[in-house]
Amino acid sequence: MAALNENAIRISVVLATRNRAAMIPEAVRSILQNDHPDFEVIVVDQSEDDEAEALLQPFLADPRLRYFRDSRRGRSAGQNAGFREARGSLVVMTDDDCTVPTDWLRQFEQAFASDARIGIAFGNVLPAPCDPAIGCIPSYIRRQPFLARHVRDKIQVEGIGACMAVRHSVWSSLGGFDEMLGAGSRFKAGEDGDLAMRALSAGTWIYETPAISVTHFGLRTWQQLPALMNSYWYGLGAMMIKPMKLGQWHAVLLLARLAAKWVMGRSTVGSSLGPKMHRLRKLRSFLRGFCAGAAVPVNQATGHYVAAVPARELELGGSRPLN
Amino acid sequence: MPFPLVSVIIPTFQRPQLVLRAVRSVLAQTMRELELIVVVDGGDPATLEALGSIADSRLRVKPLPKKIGSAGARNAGVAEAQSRWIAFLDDDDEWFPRKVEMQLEAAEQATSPHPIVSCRFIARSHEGDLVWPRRVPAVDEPLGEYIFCQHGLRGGEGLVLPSTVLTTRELLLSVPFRGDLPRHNDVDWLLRAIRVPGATVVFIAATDPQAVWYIETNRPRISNTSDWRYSVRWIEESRALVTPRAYASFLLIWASSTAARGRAWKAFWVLPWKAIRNGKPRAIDLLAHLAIWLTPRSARSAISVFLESRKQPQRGLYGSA
Repeated sequence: MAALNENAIRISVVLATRNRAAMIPEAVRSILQNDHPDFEVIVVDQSEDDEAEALLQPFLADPRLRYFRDSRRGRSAGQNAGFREARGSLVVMTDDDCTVPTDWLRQFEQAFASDARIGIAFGNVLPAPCDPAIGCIPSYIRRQPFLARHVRDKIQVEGIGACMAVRHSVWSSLGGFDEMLGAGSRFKAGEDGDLAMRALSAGTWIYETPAISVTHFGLRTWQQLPALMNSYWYGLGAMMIKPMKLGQWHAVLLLARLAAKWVMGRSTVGSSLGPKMHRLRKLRSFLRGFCAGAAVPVNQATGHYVAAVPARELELGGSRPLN
Repeated sequence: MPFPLVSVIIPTFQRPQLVLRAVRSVLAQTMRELELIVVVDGGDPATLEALGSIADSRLRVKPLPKKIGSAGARNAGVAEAQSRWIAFLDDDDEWFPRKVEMQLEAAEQATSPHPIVSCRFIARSHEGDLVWPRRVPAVDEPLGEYIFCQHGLRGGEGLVLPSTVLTTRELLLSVPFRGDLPRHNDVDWLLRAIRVPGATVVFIAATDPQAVWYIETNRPRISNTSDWRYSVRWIEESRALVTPRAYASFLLIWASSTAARGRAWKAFWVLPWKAIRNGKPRAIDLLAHLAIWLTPRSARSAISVFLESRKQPQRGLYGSA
């Protein structure tokens, strides 16, 4: 099959957005300015208005950009929609409020080239300059590269979806992101970490390196931060109970260590989300997510949370395409 | 152009905007060595003009002088096709870019000479997306039972969507679509094709969906009271193609739901009587029949959740994405 696809696109960039059009042109422009010879950009727009679509019009003349509307909600659903449209064997993700350097895609490709067992890679998410009197920008900064080969290494891997790349085959074999996790979904966060965890459990390696980075402009005011923090830890709680529900008991020790690390405020992402004095609040949100996750069934075959029975599937016979 | 490995056939009539979406999804495939034959079913200048705007040498438009229906249009496309493999796409559906690549791989690895390759798809409506079918056929499961018999009260369990079918040209030439059937055309073809020695239904290994079936844009479903009688006649005529279990399930679930939508109460008694007399209904079929006629949606939801919760996890059974 490889011979058939010697012309195939090597990298697809997926950018999911919802009702936050302001930064989109900047983000798309910085991606299209990459010096990689062979990539496409897929924008999945879940907005209720047409602002992002209008702002992207000037860029659509570039055949490398493909734009899709998605009427569903949730970042993980948007990412999955983008992955389905992706033609590259490597899919790189960032957020609608980030800009990327010109060597971004080449660096990602290089990271994966070092070993075929690497299925996911994370880079740094650097905060843009901001006024500390108003708020702060969530970030993820690692000084040394790290290669995770086992679930127990997850304690070192906290990369976030704003600078993440996944082999399409890995995404496919894991059944994609869990659409019950992630911003805008039932459990509000945690879809990126969940994919990383399931990948490690399946024997895939994860590479994190400071050689790759994006700049994050998503300023959160001090008033907005508590809500963001709550959803972040709530999502983590829901993500962490999943391996137990799947009977992966070797993960339990890891969970305990990770939870302790997070609650103690020694987490890189976590500490970028606010001062350490909010430990109790974090713990509370984490436990709430943990309990909420316990109440929702997990599909043993796919490792995804199961949504309620959709109304359409109760229309017996009548909804069938073949009659 | 290199010799095409796959011929894609889209039958269409008077839906220029929709067919363009379908055509673009074919031309964006990662497997590029394909030819696309759009069969325009009858005089339709708007569609011909829309297709004229696409500059791709792989696209061929075949206008038919008069309308002969989708089955005839598909057969006309098969007659035009040059490749060993043929894939169908309806004009209101679309594919994801890897669909043909993955199916061709599965087709070439298949042990049987005439695999009918299918895949999961997204059933999209204003209520949201569902990934169907929820289950792929078990080894040695008769195709009729896979399509008609369900294990619970939820739809979307076993399906072979026409827009996901890729198979050999040879099989389509020896078993063409029947142009004289107003309904059940696709399933009729599947059940007859599967009887050809060496024909088997194969699902690609990947569980993620490779096509989108738009429920809203489908022709409005006007069911009149005679539709269920037509379905009964079709299954009686096709009884040799299905097992007694599949026969009973078809009557008690498919025909029953059609009749229930038209509130044709005679069917409420006739269908179980026929199913019991001529077929082998299972308890779940009779339960489904009662549920279709007698319970509101909410009660059906509760029964369905109860049945699902009592089930052991099964290989090949997936939740709805």
